[in-house]
Amino acid sequence: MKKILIVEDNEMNRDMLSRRLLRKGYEVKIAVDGAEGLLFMKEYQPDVVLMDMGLPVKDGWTATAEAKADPILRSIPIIALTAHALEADKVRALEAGADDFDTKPVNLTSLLEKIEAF
Amino acid sequence: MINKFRYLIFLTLTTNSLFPYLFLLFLMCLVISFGMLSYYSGLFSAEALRAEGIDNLLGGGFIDSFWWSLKHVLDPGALSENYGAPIGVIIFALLNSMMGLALTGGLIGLIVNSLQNTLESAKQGISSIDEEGHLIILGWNRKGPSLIKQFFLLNTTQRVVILSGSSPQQVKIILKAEGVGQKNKKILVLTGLTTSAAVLDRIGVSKAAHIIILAEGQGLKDSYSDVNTINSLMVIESKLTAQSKVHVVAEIVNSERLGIANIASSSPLVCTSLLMSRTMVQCARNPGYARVYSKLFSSAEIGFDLFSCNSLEGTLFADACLMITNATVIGVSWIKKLDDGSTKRVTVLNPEPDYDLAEDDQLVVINSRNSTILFDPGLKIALQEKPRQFLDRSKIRDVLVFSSSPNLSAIISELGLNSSSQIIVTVACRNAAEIVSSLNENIVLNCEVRRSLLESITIVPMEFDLNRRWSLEHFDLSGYDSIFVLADESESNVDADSSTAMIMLLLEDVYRKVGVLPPIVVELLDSKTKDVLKHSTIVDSVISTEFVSAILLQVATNPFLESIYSELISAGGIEMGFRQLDNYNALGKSMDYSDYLSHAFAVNELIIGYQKGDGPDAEVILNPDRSTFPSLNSRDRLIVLAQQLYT
Repeated sequence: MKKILIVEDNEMNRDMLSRRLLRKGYEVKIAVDGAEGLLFMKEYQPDVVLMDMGLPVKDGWTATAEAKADPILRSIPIIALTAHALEADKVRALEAGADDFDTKPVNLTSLLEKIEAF
Repeated sequence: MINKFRYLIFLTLTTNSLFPYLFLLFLMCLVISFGMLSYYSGLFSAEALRAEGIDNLLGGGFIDSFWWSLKHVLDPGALSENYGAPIGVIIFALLNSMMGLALTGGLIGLIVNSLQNTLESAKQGISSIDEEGHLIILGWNRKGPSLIKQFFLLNTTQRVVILSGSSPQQVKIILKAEGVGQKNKKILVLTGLTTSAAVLDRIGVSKAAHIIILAEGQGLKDSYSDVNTINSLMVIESKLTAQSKVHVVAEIVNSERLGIANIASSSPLVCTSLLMSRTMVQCARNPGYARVYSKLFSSAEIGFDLFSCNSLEGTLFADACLMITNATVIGVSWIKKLDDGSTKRVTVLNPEPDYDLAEDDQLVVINSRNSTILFDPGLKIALQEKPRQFLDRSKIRDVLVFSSSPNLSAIISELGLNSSSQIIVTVACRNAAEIVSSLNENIVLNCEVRRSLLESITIVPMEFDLNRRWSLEHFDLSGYDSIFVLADESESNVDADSSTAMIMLLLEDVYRKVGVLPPIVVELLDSKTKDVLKHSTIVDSVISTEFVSAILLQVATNPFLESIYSELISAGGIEMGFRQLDNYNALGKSMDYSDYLSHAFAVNELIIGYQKGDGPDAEVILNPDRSTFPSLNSRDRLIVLAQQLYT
């Protein structure tokens, strides 16, 4: 089963998403900001990263760009998650290097399809 | 030698409470023995026996001498009964009576002194108490009276024990002035160190039902002491065992100390500056929220409860919301196992409608206090698919803040967090330039965590001193999106609420001349000052310490509520919202409660109530009765929980 890293600062959002993914049988690890997200990507080597964009310390765009610039981390797929669901936000996330994009609150069926696509 | 003996007597008298009595007894024995020597001066001679007070019923020996001497020591009146006795006997009787008088006086003095000490201890509040299941309030500040008032509104029979550094007389006077004096039978006011393990034992911390730690202090002048609060938390934590069922909640004033406080204790913490600033900013962003908050956090009307889902495993969250027929479901909660083996309660508000409930889930509901939750498993909701709706983030770009308050820095940071664009905050107070410079330093420190904050906020000083200027005519207030009037405790000779009321009068004056003002959010320290502003036409929201007290009390009785409150008033995540009927294409349509729910779920929103009408007379109804859910019109608003999606 896939290992998923959730990078999310809002406690309720990460609790709910991790519970739903755990119940679907995924292995889940949580980071609370962009810097911790990058650290856990190195330590944990997840199969997919679900990256919130508006994060403290290091925001999701910066963390995604840094991960994609890192030769060890660049192959890990990153799905960007944001509540700002305009086309411009999607473009900005994809430009930062995200492999896919989804809006919050998540539609689980659609998110699972995106996770399974990697 | 004599000095050494004196010192020994002094030492024993001051260190042993029983010694004075034993010493008096010893002296009494000496005096009685001395009196018995009158035997040798003819106590039982024929001449002496003529006197009324001398008897030899037991043969005129040791016992009769003892009795005669004892009588004179204890009863000075016995002296007169020796009339006619030999002169030697009368002298002995006189000396015995005089020494007896001195000894009896000493004994009475000791007893009176001891009684006085006991009464004094009770008055000063340094006595021990023997209670179980009581509410303990550690520390004392302005929130105390309102906290107790709200506690008694819950119709509880529990006793309230207040332990603080303040004098009990002072606390009692404040309570009486605040109208909680008549309930004093249930309130015990004690004084002592709230950080002392021995003192906390004395008030039964481990046997209490709830402990609320208030920050001692009075605002800027005496700066509140979070250090004491954190120390108290650590001491309490060491007293509680895993089996203890005590709910502890602490008030932390400065948000920067929250991290340390969290290390010191696992108890929920309520940070006053964060709470006040977040609430005020939410009220400024969304006029009308204050009304909903006061209903939602009112201890008397609304209660929060958990409903177990054992029989609901696999049921969709949306259906469960309809199945609970007399309460409003607002989220789910479960116990999460952490990596270190410990457990933690997790609460999530407004989960996705298609979330299928697990066996260990509990539904979080708001209901009328003390009502039993009714459940109809046959009800099902028709979920709809709708495109996501995006809201315009409320555009607060230019803010005017009157007065300097301990919460000012937190309010400015919160404004920054809530704004997606550049924000200008004008601070109008005495020594504005100095205060703004210190605020900027503070925000630079905060920005180690939120870098974007520094770039989005500009703070501008504006010198405004109520001691010099009594007019706002020269200020152009029309350009601001919002005005905050904060409680200023920086001047010892001026009451903060009086300054606030004065600024409100000046603003009212401007409004009369200009006819328009931006939304005004007011912070009050004393809830009674609300009455002064009752007739003001310009105030949008009033936030007082009553609000913080209500939250402290709710969290003390239900610790899981802490995460709910902090989520509801913070930026991002799940927020509260007002929705017009045309948001759901519901305007002009005949709809019942389940129809509204269904439309709301289609856009991931959860209805918790509605507001009937608008303006100052609007009425907020939370947890509405399904059977009498009214037909709403264009002036009404639905109150929802939503993951806000901003453009």
